[in-house]
Amino acid sequence: MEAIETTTSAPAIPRTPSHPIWWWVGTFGGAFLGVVLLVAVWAKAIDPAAFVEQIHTEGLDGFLSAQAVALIALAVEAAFGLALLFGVRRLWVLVPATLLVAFFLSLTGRSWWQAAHGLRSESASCGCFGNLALRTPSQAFWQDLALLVPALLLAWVGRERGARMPRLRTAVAVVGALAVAGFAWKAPALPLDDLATRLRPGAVTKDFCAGAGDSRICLDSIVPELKTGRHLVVMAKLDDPQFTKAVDALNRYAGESRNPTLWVLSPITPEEKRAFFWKWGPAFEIRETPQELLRPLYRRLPRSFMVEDGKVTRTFGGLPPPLTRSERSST
Amino acid sequence: MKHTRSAVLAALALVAVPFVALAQGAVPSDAILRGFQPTGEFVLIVDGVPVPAAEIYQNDKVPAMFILTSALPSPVLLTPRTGQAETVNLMKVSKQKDGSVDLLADAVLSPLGQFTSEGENVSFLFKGKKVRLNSRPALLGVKSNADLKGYLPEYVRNARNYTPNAAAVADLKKVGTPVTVRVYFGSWCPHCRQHVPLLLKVEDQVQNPKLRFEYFGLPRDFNDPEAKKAGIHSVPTGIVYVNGREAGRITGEGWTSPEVLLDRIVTGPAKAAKGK
Repeated sequence: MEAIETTTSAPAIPRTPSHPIWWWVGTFGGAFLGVVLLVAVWAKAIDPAAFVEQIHTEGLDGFLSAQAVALIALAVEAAFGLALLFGVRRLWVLVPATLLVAFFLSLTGRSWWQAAHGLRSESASCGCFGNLALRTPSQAFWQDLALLVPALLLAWVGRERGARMPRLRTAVAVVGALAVAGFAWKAPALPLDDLATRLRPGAVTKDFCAGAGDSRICLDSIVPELKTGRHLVVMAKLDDPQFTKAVDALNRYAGESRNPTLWVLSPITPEEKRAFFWKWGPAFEIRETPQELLRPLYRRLPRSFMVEDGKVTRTFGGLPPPLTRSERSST
Repeated sequence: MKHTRSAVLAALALVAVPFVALAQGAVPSDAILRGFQPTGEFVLIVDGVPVPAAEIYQNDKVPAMFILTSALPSPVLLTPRTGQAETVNLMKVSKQKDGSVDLLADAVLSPLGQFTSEGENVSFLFKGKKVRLNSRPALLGVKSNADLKGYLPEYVRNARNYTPNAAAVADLKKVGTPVTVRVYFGSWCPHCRQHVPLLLKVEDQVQNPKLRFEYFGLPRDFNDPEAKKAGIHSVPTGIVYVNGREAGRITGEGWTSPEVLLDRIVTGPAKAAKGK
């Protein structure tokens, strides 16, 4: 009987990692940078009007309209954010991403310099995070620097050279970028106000503040009455035809003692308020509110909200339903 | 001569308002045309001459403006939006204890004509007199508590409605070192209208000769050398000087209860030292 030679186990071969440690460090850095860029894209895409305003303020709409610049910028930022998140660290991703980061830092740095030299309001800049985070120019600069630069430097570490083009991941990034642009295009019509702004049910009015140091101002100091009782607050531009058409309805609402107290907040000057008084005869109180304080609370004006004992209980896009109903019934 | 006589008669009638109001106690105030509050936002100009003594009232509920002055033959009611100017018999005006004005229920309004609004100002004709209601120029420079209250009745009203923190006021009454509180404000500034009166009330209650309050009115553009020197970027800003040196500032949220912050600035270090 022939002995059958059997092998019970394969000879031990030492397992080597498929990628060196520096590759992992670089991929993690790139992915982190990608996430930061995508969070910034989300914050801007849900309130594109605020981003458009920012582009206009920064004077970046020289060749194209601010709207077009906003859509292109969002698509580009989303494309590179997705590519980095998917681990695509080719030169054609890293070089534009580096330029993008340098561009963001130059913008926030310029805002900071202007604010420090009195050329811009301390609270005028929201940085690259739209209205989700309200930051002073110095905060915006240092936070962007801390979030973006280390991750960017790491993204350059341990990248593969000469590897094949990652077609699938690149295609997904391009499709994602186009989807972001499409979303931003449609976002103003979507019911995202509560998500895109700091005004949402459950929010506390004393937390609505703007500015820093001596210039810090909060809604509670502009309308201290909101701390107690029931109130209906309308944020509006006084020259907005939608608002002026509703003055009669607002007057009727204010004249009904059972209703919550009606307030109108508007970024106007005392002169404009007096002119409005003579022209339209409001029977409700209008409080001049700085634009810096109002802007994080809306995507489009008018916007309204109910407050009970200092807490927001409901929000309404446009004028509140009780007013629009009475306006309809009166016409 | 004719004008002088009518002015004297109007002045006498104006003086008689409180007595008439007493005599007419039985007639209730009108259900709507009541609660006109004094406002310092406007100045009356008759035939090009300012009438600083004119009493101007505003009612936000109606809404309407009411002018009471001896420079006009009778009081005038202005209704925004409709642009209607009307007169009312002086005897049908009732001054209330809180400084507000009511029209009596049996008051009859007589049409005077349309007023013209030019932005924030309005003008109309009253028996050949050109009457204008212009926005008041800003109060500038160093002013006192009384100056502010005299200029803006809104300050009096808002001060009256404020109750300062009793413990802080008691602390401030005992301050023995010289303290000056200089408040930079704008008579045009709506936030000052809400916050500065709180400090006026604190000043009224503290009554400590060692604690001096002064109010510095700024123009809209903040273009004032003293404000620039003090680094004022927003109003109201209160600078607290202890023994001539700046010890702290009342700004932003500190204006919610200015006496509490003032107490902390002035007596805080002393209290901390005692605590040790």
